[in-house]
Formats: sequence, structure tokens, C-alpha cells
Amino acid sequence: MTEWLRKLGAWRRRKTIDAELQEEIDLHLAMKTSATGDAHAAQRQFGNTTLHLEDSRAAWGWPRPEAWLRDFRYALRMVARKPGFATTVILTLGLGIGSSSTIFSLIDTVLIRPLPFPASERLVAVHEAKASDERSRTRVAPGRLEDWQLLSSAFEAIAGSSKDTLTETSGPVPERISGARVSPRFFSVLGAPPALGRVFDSEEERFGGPLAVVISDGIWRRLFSADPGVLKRSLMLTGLRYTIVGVMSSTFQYPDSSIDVWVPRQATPHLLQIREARFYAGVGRLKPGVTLEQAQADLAAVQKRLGDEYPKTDAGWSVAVEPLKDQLVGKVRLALWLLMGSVSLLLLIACANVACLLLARLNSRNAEIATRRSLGAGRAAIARQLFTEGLVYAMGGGLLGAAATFSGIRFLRQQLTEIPRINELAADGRILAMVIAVSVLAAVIFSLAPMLQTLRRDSTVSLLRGGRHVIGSRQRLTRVLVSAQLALATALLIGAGLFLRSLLKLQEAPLGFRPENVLALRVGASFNESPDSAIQRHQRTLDALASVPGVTAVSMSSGLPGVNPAWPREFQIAGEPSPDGSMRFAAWRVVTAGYFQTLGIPILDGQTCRMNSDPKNPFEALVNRTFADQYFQGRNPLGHAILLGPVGDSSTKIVGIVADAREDGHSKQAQPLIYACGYLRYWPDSDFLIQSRNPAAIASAARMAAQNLEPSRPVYSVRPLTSALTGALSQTRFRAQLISLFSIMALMLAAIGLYGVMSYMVSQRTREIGIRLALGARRGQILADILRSGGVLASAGAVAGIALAAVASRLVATLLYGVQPSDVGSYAMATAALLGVAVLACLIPGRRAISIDPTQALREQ
Amino acid sequence: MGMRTEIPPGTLYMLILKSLARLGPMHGYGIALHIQQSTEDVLQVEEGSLYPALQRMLIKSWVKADWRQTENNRRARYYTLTPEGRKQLAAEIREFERVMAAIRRVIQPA
Repeated sequence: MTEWLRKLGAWRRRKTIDAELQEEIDLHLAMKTSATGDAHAAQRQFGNTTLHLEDSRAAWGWPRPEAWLRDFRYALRMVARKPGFATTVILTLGLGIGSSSTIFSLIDTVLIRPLPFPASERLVAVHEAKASDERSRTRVAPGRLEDWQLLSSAFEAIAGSSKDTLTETSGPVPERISGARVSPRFFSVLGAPPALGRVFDSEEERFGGPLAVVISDGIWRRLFSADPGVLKRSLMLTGLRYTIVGVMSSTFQYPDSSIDVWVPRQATPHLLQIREARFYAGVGRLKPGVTLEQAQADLAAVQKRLGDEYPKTDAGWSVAVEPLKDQLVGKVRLALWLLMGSVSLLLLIACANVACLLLARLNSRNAEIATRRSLGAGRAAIARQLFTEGLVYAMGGGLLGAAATFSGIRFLRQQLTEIPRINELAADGRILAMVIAVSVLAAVIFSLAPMLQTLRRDSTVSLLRGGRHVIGSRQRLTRVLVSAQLALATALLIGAGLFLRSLLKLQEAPLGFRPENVLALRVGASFNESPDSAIQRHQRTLDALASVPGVTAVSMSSGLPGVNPAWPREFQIAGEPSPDGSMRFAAWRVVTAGYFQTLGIPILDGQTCRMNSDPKNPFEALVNRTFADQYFQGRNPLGHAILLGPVGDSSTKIVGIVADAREDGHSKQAQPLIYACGYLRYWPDSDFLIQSRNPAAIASAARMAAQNLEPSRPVYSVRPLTSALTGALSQTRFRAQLISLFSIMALMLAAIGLYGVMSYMVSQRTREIGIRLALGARRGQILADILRSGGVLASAGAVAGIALAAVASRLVATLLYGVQPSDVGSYAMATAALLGVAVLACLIPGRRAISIDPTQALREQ
Repeated sequence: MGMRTEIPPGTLYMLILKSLARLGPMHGYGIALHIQQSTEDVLQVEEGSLYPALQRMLIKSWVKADWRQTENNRRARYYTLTPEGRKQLAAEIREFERVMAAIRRVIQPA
């Protein structure tokens, strides 16, 4: 302890101590010289003065910080001496570190971090599911939810919510806001306290109770300028006044990030008895210590008892329980890991590239290092020096990378709006820590190679040779590194090819309808509107839109084709119970008669329906070809009746068969689908489709026409159908673009790596090439020789890359569309691109080689 | 070139401590001279390595140092043995004897 204190005290007096030591040694030498009369002998006897001085200092325990500082200063000097080289290294690293930290933080935010709820590992999503097939998940009926809550013992509580769009009319302009109607216990299941105020009390959750609303952080800022006094105020939602009781924090984004307000469902006693009304997204909180399997078993047993109690509606149904996080982010998991994989490859390439550059640089520093070795620098000291230089580059790269990460994160937040939890992605301390970790890791990786080299080599030899080439093993290592880079780049290029081709296939996929000349807009619905008035309103809207100049056809529909998937609904064909007694499901879209003309969907048989303006009368329907093929197998469906719902509470007659259209989106094959002709009522908002030669040009006229009918009703999402469809592809497109970007960066880096190695080789072989030229070798031969050695590296890389891609692409096969993981075209194109770039990277040094002047080359060396 | 002496540092400490114990306060050159003369040039001490050793001994408080005038009126650092140094010397000698005895047992035919 005292020893340690003494050392600490000495640190402040280190200048004096140094001076005293020097004086002492000088005296020693002087005395020795005067005794023997031979100054040289005295010095010889004494040994290396500097070394002893260093050793003496080391005794005080300072060599570490001091040596590091000295190494650091020296490294800075070395880095600054070659600004071009340093820029290349730092740019390469910054690119690698920046792109990887950006994607790492995306993964961290979305997949790794727990959901922002207390004890979120106990939160589960609960679904109803067919007993025969657990994957047939569907939403939960409110009555059943209450039964589960009452009977299950595995949960602290179970709740549910359903999304809804609401009109807020307390402001001057009606505003469309997104809401969640929630069951009792909703907030206590999730457990997150409100940022302001409170959540609902049991009175407000009950039917007939006071109307209360909890608002999101977003709408609190947007509509109320973050006013803390908001709790005394209220919102007019669909004509009813709701008192604001609480404000949630910005991290509370359940069921998703679009939600502006939460209101209690206040289910009527009647609604609780309709056991087929499945509309809640169920969410439960497990009791502590209860596993997922136990909860699943417990709830399944409960549901089995309900099946006995309500055989008509509950028999044959079971449950599915999954972690809430899986439900929220499961869909993007694979795609994100794919990005992670690609970007890790890029980082590896960047590190390998820098290692190559440093190795080549090290070769030109042989003389310097050998000199330092013979002056007494230990191998460890040299290695430490090289590591410090690596660290300097990594710091530069890290700084650049951090800047790139921050802008990358901003970019991702703008582009990936459809990724769940993306709002939680923020540039914070964790990300900074991540960048630092990645930089240090990179420094270790890329200074490893030069360090190994130095530790292995006998430097006196190179000093004797005037610092000229020790080719052998160092060259081998560089070659391996370059080939590895080329391999990784090939794999990435193949991946990019696969995803780009998927995207092209998706865009080219015949939709079965023509979106080009169609304008879409959406009109808000309201719960308190009577069916009769809703039907009249729709008819007037259609008439108004049809009279806009330039409009050739109009129709209404429940959801946009190719954008909003049609919902499945149970049905039976009248008089034909299904062979095995199972229920049949078909997608269901409510449309008006003009739908098929507006979208250019051919009617194959029969005709379009006649619209029925009396809500009590039965309506007509058309079915798609897949429906006809699957359920009528060669018989004519026309004239048959379809019963809807398990007990057939309404029926409709098939009047036409239309060609298959991809109603559910580009990537989804057509499924059996029923087009029910009718008008939407109190829910959901209706889409209007307007055909015109130039849809963008009539947009404002169409909006005016719809708005003028009823100024207080919101008209929104006015856009060409093509742009809505483009939006639906945005995630696929963005994924393909990101991977392409990564692969191009990878190819560039690998090309720089190859170029560096080839240039170095040519510079080392100047003398040899000079001799060969002098002996009469043709320049073509020399060039071929150089291209051959580059070609070996490139081919080795390409082969390894193809093998890597063949394995890796299988893992992401489900993300591909219309392209096999072994797609020959993608592999061929990637290989061609790689080889082409490789030839370019070799040609430049090759040209330099054949322009060598033999006489000059020989004279110089 | 003077080879670096392979004397283990422990032995060097012992030699320095013993010299100080025998002749009292001395400067570095004096210590070097004394070791050289008393070993009759058998041990090729690289004199410079005395100084790092002396620094370490200062840190461990086996010796203390003060600046005094030499006989030739030059300023020199004189090292003096401390009670701790004396204890250390005894310990070093014990350890050295133990090792030597062990080595002797190995090399002498029984």
C-alpha cells in the first residue's frame, strides 16, 4: 500500500527523478572514464544507457500509460504521414462500422430488447384456434374472453382490444384518428402506468358507464400542444363526448404504433352473448412462474369445457398462446436477421480489407521496424505499437461510423415505418457503446494479422536486405484475406440478385386487375348512422363521383384490392353440407356493382350484380374462379345460394363468376373469394374507386365532390391506386435495396482489396519484370501473367462465395418470391459482376507492369 | 558488444545489499566497483543495470538515498541500507544458500 503511494507520489516528481538518474549515470561514466582512461570501454561496460533509464522508470510503474501515450503519438504521426492511405482505411472502416451498428441497433431495438412493459416476458397473445389445426388462429369473442378470464387459473388477467378509426369533431375540421376499443382489464394486463392522469376505472369499462378516453403521447402533443391541463378536457368521438382521463407515454404502442386513443369497448350484454363475434386481439399476463405450455394447456382445458357448455358455437374450438413479442415482431424477424447477416459480412470485408492494407503498408516499413528491433524494442513493444496504430484507425473509423450510425438510424425510422417498434429506435448511449465495441473489435481483428506477422518474423534478416521483401507467408495471408473478401462479396451479390429478382417478379406479377387508371379515396363511417341513411349516403357519393368530368366508372368496396386483404368468413353452400362436416372459409369483400368494370376484372360467366337498396332484402354475390373450382368442381355455381356464418344467418345468391384477382397483395396467390354486393354501414370506412384516364388530375375534384355532400364527414387517403400498391411493396423493396447497397459496398471494398494486393505485387516484382522484358518476354505475356494471378484469387473467392450463398440462401427462402434459392441467373450475374470488377482491379496494376522500362528497373535496384 | 548479464535480479539485489552492509553508504559507481573487485572480475556485471535495481530497491524501502559531495567535490547520490534492507539481505542470503545447497546436492556425486 505504502509502496503504491510512493509510486503515485513519484509520478508527480518524475521529471526530477529522471534528471537525477541521468546525473547519477553521467557521474558513473565520468568516474569510470577517469579511472580507466577509456570512455568507450566505460560505455561498453555500462551497457545501453537509454535502456537502463527506461528500466529505472519502469521500476516506478509508469511505463504503461507513458508508453501507450508515446505509442499513440507515434501512431498519430505514422497515420498523418500517409494521408491518402489513412483516408482509405478510415473510410473503409467508417462504412463497415456505420452500416453494421445501424443494423445492430435496429435488431437490438426490435428483436432483442424486451417490450416496453413491466415484466413483459409474462405477456402473451391469446387466440382462438380450431382444435384440429392450431395455426388457424383467429380473434377472440368478447363473451368468450370473459369466460376465459373467469375460468382460467394460469393468468393474472386476460384482456382484448380491437382497432377502429374514429372521427374527432371538437375541432373546426373533422379529424380521422385511430383508436383501440379495449376490454376491461386492458391496461392492468399490460401494466404500463399512464404518463399523466389514470387509466379506466371499472365503472368506465362497464356498459352504460361514463365515457372516458386515454390518449396517446402523439395526439397529446399534436392536438393539445402537450398541455398538462388536458385531463379536464374532452374529445368528441363519433358524435359522443369522451372525458380525457389519462395520457400514455410515447413508448406505449399497443396494439400498434398508429393508435391515437384508447376507449373502453363497453360491450353490451347482447354483444357478450354473440359467441361468433370474434374481434378482440387477445392479450394476457401470466401468473409468475407459469410457463407458456402450462398456460396453453390450462386455457385449452377451459375452452374444452366451454365446448361442452356451448356445443353449437364453442365445440371444435381451442386456443393458441404465444409470447406477445413473437406476435408483434415475429413477422419481421427473419428479414431483420437477413439484414444483420449481410451487414456482418460487410463489416468482415471491411476489416479484412484494412488488414490487407496494413499488411501491405507493413511491408514497406520493414526497415523501420527492423531498426527499432535492433535498437532494443521487444516484439511485444512492436506488436503493441501496431495495435495502437490499429486503434487510431479504428477511432477515426469509429467516429465516422458513429456519425453514419446516427444518420442511418434517422433514415431507417423514415423508411421502415411499417416495422413494429421502429419508434423505439433512437440514437442513444447504448448505440454509442455498440459503435465503440464494434470499433475496438474491428481494431483487434484487423491488427491481428500484422501483429502475428511481426511476432513471427526474424527482423534482422530484413534489415540486412535493406528492408526488401520477405514475400512468402505474408503474401499468403494477404491472398487469403483478399479471396475471403471476394467470397463474401460474391455471396452478398448473389443475395442481392435473389431479392431484386423477387421484387421484379412481384412487380410484374399479374394482379388480375388494372390499377393504372384508378383513383382511391376513403370516406369515414359512423356508428350512429342508420342502415338506410348509410345506403343513401353511399349512393349519393357514387353519383357525385361519377359526375366528376373525366370519370368513366366508380364503385365502393371494403378495402383496397391488393392493399387491404379481404377477411375470411365462414360459409356453407345451401343444401350441400361439407363432406366432413368441417366449416368452410372464404375471403369476403363487400363491393358495389361497378367494382369489376372499374378495376377491369373480367366477368367469366353470368353478370355483375344488381344493387339492392333495401337492407332487409337478400343481396347478390359474385365468386372468383378459384372459389368456383374449389367448391363446385366443374358444376355451374350460378344460381346457388351461399349461407354465411356457421348457422347460416344470411344467404346470398351467386350471379356471376369473375377471373382471379390478387386481392390480398402482389405476393399472395388468389384464394376463394366472395364478392358480396352491398353497401357498408356503420363499420368500416368505405373505399371508393374512381376510374379515369388520369387519376391524379381528378384527385382534388373527386375529393371536393365527396366532401361537399357532407362537410363534417372525413374524406381521406386520396391517392392513385398504383401508389397505394407501391406502398404495399415498400418493405420488400426497401429490403432488396438495402441488401443491394450492402453488396455494392462489399464489391467495391473487395475490388479495392484486390487492387491493393495486385499493385503491391507488381511493385515488388518490378525488378523481375524488368529482367524478363530485357530477356525478350512479350508485354502480353507479362500482362497475362498478372491477370492470371489475380484471376486465381478472384475465382477462388467466387467459388467459395457461391458455396456460401448456396447454404445461406436456403435460410431465407421464405422471403423470396417466384425465385428459387438456387436461381441460376442470380448466381451467374453475381459471378460475372465479381469477375468483371476483378479484371478491372487487375488491369490497372497490369498496365503499370507492362509499362516498366527494363533498363530503368534494373538500374534502380 | 557487452552481453546483457544473466544474473538473476535477486542475486543482484543481494550483492548490492551486501556491499552496502559491508562498506556503509556508497554511490552507484562505488557499488559497481566494489562488486567487480570483490568478485575478482568473475561476474560480468553490466554496470548500468545497477541503476534500475537501485530504483526498485528505493521503492521497496530497502535502501534510502541522499545527495552528498564526493571526495572530488562532485554531487553524487549515496545509498544507505535501511533496517528493512538488512532484513531483506538476511532473507536473500538464506534463500541463496538454500538454492546453492540444493544445486550442490545435484552436481556432487554421492
